[in-house]
Amino acid sequence: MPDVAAEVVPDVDVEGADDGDFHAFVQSRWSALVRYAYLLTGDLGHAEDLVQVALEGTWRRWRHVRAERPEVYVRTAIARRAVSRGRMLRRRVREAELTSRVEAPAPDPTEASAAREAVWRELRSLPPRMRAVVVLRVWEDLSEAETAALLGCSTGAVKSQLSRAVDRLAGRSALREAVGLPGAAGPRTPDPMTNEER
Amino acid sequence: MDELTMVREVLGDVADRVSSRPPDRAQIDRGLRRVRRRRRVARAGKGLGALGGVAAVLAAVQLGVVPVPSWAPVVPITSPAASALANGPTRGSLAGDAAWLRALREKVATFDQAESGGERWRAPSADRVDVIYAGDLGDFRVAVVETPLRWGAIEARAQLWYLGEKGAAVAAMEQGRSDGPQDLVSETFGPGSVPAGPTTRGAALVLGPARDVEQVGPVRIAADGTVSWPAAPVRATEPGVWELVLPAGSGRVFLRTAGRDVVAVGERGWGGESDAEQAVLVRGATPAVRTGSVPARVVSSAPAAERLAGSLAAAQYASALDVTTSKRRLVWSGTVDGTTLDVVEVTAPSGGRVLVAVQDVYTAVMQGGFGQPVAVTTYGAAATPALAWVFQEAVALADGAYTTNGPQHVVLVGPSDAVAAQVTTTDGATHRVDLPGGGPGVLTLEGAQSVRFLDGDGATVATTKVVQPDAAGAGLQPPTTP
Repeated sequence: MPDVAAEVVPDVDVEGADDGDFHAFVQSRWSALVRYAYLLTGDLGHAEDLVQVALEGTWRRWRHVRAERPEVYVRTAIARRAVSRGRMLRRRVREAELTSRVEAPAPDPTEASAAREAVWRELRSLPPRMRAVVVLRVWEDLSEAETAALLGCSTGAVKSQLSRAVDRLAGRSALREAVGLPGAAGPRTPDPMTNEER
Repeated sequence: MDELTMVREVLGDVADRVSSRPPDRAQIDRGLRRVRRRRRVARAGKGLGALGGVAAVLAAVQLGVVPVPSWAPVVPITSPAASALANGPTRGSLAGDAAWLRALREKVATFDQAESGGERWRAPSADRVDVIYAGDLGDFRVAVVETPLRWGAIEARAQLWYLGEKGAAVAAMEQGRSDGPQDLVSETFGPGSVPAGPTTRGAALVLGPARDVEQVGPVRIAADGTVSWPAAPVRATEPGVWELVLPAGSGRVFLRTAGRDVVAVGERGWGGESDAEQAVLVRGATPAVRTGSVPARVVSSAPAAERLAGSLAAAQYASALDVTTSKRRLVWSGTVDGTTLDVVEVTAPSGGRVLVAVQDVYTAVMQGGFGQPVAVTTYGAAATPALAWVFQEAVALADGAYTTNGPQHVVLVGPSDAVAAQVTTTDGATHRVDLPGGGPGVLTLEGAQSVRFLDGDGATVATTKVVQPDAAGAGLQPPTTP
């Protein structure tokens, strides 16, 4: 895995860097990267910002990164920034999205659909690092060691964060209902966009 | 089904619903140009970001000066060798103020910055801090130092910039930008660069072995719409030091050395960094929209306040004029293929006018936000403004990639009494398009070169060249009149 501590590596001289590979990389991987960032942030605007910033960093080091695995590099940068930016966003004014480009779920009056939406809302309410661990371990299917390396933390931290996330989600009625367990009135789900400290 | 399986399915459902169009090649190229310019173009927003000016950073992103938000600090590690600047004397008006310089070194020695990945960089001691420059520059106090930074056994050198208000005590100086050791450095300072109170004067500093530094601008737009960018040498204040303080009300100015732009000064030229400046920006810009009296105009809707301010700021920047000495008017707002486009008229003090098309850009790599100026033209006070530009959509390919080789739309915004337009292409052919309500119009056409707007009697009421997409680059500004 490329060393994302390369955030402190000097910029390469991009004057002569090869644009062609980078164009192809951006255009082919953009959508997937934004989806990934959206799961980490729960906000499309912020997700696109994160991808932009990560790609810019990638471009500055493209000569080094392209020979390895640029997508791993970008995804690592996105995850780390999602965690740190999540902390910052608590102090920021919420940005209103002009036009939602995240499709609403297909009309489905069933309780199962509503429960899934509720699970997503609760996932969004998780603290940034905890949410990142869930996304990386559960959605990206990374190992504990890979997740730890990507987030720059210990495997113990990954284990405890995932455990706490599951406990937290399982304590909410939505997830219990979604998986067919008896509903439980959980604690109030905080609004993910408020400045509430967690 | 267990909880984790359900979570996985929910994440999959959500991911499938996300839609974000990849940037096209031109958008990526614009972003790359900005990255390349970063070292030679001022990073006004860097200091702002360090000072927590989120709005200013967002505005600077849009401005194009700062391609990314600067909330992520970076400690660049480069050669441990000192720069030529650090090996020279302390420069600037505070070079002889031993007490202030000593206090600055002691402040620098407290540098302690955590980086992602767990690195923690600290300055070892005040004795090893070289003060390259310290002085008052217009409304600012600026200091540039070079110091070793240590993380464990690793040592690197960094140039750090400190900024405060003119006359500030060391304690009030805020650390902003940081770079590796460089022999030629430049920085620009504008309104909002210091937290307490706006300044009206932009300033710039160039340090290093440049042979000469030239000031280009501010732009002059005459009453007849002709444009000139006067150039003049900047005199060094001492060997290797060029200080520039712009008078209040100046538009954007560039400093060049060795034929390249090194800094763009005069950020006042676009405004929008504070609520007060945004109020100035928006004031009077949409009288027609507000009253609903927009004859012969297709105003699709009054943009939301934030979007309007974004478009006006983008147009103001593209005009290169100062925000306080020029006036803005939203001429048209509409949508082409789902992309919102605004046309804004910026009027110079002379009465000459700059017409700017602003296109919403949601996903352009490294540009962020909305309001990208895509076409600029100028008109005299007595002329009839019209603007035509090529708008090209990205087209999806079967393999999921995108190309910009799709249909070229020519967007036509003419005078209100035009009922039709005649577009001439490179092969000399003419194509007529009706403009219901006097415009605007959209024509899908390759090779459009010029447009003639016609009234009900077939008489020409305005002509304009078609602005091509190649001209829609990062450095959009009023072109010099031949």
